[in-house]
Amino acid sequence: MAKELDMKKYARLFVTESRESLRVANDAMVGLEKEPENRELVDQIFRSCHTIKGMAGMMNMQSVADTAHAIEDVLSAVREGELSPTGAVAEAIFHGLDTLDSMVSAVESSKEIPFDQGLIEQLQKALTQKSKPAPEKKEAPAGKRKRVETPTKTMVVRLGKRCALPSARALVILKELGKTSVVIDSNPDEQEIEHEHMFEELQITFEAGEKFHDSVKRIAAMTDVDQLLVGDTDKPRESWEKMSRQEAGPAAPTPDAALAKTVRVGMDKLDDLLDDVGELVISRSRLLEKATAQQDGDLQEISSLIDKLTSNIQSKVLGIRMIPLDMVVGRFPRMVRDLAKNGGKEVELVVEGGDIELDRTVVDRITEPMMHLLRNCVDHGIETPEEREKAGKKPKGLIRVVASKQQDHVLIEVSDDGRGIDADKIRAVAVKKGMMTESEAANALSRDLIDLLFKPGFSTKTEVTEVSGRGVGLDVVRNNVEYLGGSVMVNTSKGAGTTFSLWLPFTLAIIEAMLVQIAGQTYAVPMGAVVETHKYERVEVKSVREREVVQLRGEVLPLISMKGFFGIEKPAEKTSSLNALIVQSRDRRAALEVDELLGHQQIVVKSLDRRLKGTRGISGGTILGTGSIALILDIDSILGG
Amino acid sequence: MMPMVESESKQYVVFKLGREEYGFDVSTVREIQSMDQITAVHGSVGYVEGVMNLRGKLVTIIDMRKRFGMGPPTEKTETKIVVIDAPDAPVGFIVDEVTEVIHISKDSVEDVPTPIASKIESEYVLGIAKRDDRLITLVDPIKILDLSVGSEAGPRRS
Repeated sequence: MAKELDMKKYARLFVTESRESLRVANDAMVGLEKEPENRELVDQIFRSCHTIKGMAGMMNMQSVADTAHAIEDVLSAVREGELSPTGAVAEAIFHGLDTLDSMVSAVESSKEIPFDQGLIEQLQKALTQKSKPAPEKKEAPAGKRKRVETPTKTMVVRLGKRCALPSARALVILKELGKTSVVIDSNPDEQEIEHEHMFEELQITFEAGEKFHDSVKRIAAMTDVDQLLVGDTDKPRESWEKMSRQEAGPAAPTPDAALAKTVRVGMDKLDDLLDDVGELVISRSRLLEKATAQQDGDLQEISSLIDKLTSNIQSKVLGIRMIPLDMVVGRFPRMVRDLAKNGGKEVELVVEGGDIELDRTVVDRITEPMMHLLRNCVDHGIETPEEREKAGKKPKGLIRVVASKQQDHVLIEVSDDGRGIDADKIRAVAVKKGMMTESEAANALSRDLIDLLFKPGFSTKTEVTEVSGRGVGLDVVRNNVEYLGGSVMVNTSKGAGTTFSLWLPFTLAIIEAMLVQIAGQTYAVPMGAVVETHKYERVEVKSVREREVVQLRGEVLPLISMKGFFGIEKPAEKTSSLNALIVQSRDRRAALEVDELLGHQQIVVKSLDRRLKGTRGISGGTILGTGSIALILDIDSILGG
Repeated sequence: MMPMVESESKQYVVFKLGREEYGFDVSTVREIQSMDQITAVHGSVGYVEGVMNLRGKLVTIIDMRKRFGMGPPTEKTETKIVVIDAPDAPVGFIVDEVTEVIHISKDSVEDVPTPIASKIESEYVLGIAKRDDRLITLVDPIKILDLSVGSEAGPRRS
């Protein structure tokens, strides 16, 4: 029984560890294609597969272990120099890693683990391409090659008696040490560990790498590790360095250390917490208001303390929701490699700024758009090697994904050095699709033409490719980014490449907003969309082609009556003046006629039920200090209509 | 009093819409609220009355009468909101009056006669419970919602 519980707990550990291993393996594999001779990369992949195999074996996930083992077989042949990790062999390994990934996902969602016999055959077939017959030798664990010249060190780890699955922990320890050093031998060895022999201590002999001390620290900080001794193999144990968990202190944050020191919390719980913090923020304003009105020193002191604490809690809770961009971009190298391969292109991907942290919601929302942009770069941007050479470029195209912090926004640029966007091509498609007449197209500015790319159903590429033709267009990119309160810009020059710039907020839970009143209800307008407020006399409202317009310092703006927009009956009002909120979304401006302007304040953005999502003009709601609700106006959809 | 040992009985929250009585399985009901300030969401489907602040959450409120295509009440009612736990978020239903929570045994539930079933969508009507001389229509609120989402795909601007 207890074992079953442990299994559940370790399934989580397995998923986290395997994901990390697969990420490392995929990265290494992409690198290996470029440098087929790099043995270090082969070892990295091998170690990753080995870790997965070990853990899977212990958890009785035979199909996972078999798959990992089959990949290992191919890798050993590569390591022995009998196979070259290119072409079909590389494909087989990639396919293998993909299969492992879907297996891990199945474990995560407690589904039945898929088994892919075809893959095993593909891997075995890859093995038959060996250039010279290899001795039927079982693979040696990673890095078990003898190199006796340098003096070795030995580490002894004692696991706590309550350690539930010592073997899993032992493999994690071996893997951690393997990151910085070369493991030569261990007692019990990996095979024994996998078969779950009981052991009291784990003894590892290794060749210390430069940063081995970091690994030692992280291992000492892991849960279940009671005591750790480390020192030169040929010196007596008494002289070794002794570390216990308490002494280890805060270790450098690595996935392993993070695993040991973190609590997993569901996103829903964080959302709930944020809801409460939102209430707290609102109540605080009311408290401050009341307290300042009273001549009570104590009350004011308490309320200012609560004020400070609330701000602290708010920023901490928002901080907890932040995750690094790497969660998204980590998958890109592999994706770009596959895309390039399919399209017969050569592409190098450079990613910078993956450590920048964004709100989880933001990260979730931009994953699809960014993948789409990359697909575009490979499919539409980068030319074939022949075309590139003809144009005097390097045959290998370059795609850069660069994230950087800009004041209160994050800027993510996805750029390629490909052919750029051809304005004439857009003109032709626009005419063909009836979006513009020929003369309109001929006179259109490039800015307007590029705007067309973001319209649903627009594609300049004549044939729909497997990757780009998946129904996700640039319109989705823009929608998602703007949903987050961000914006998209495009810079392109023919023959030199294209850059898509995504401006995104770090967080979107709490925003500054202008409150207005429309037909007795309060609405909030995000300050990002507000240009200014203005009071117009009725007589200033003019009509252009039956649409009401007003002027702001000479600029003619459409006047949108919000009551009219929401279809609320307009009582014959005879006020001599009207309140207008000048708003802007992208490059469009308008004046919104509202009943009252109520001032601005911080609001906590809450999403609406899915039954109300997509309601025109509304993007969400918030709860005001009085407890009543203010809906948040979606300026973009109002101006679009 | 002897404990009732009825075969497979369930508890239902009974509410009124005009003279008709309806029941929701009590396990789907989260709470019953008095009518409070409801913020109208203009442009949403007709039977959505708006959103309400339920302890810091925005809860969508559906008017049961409008949902069932009934006119406004002719008599004064003690309007209540029955909040149910939909899978994604709580949703409130406006009803004329919540009368009681009762046990209804499976035996006393009959299928809906076909001519009536077609009138109200049969998909969310679970059956009709007979109790003394009363007839209580048992409905599945989650199903009502699911259908609401589907029927929401009204005319969209192109």
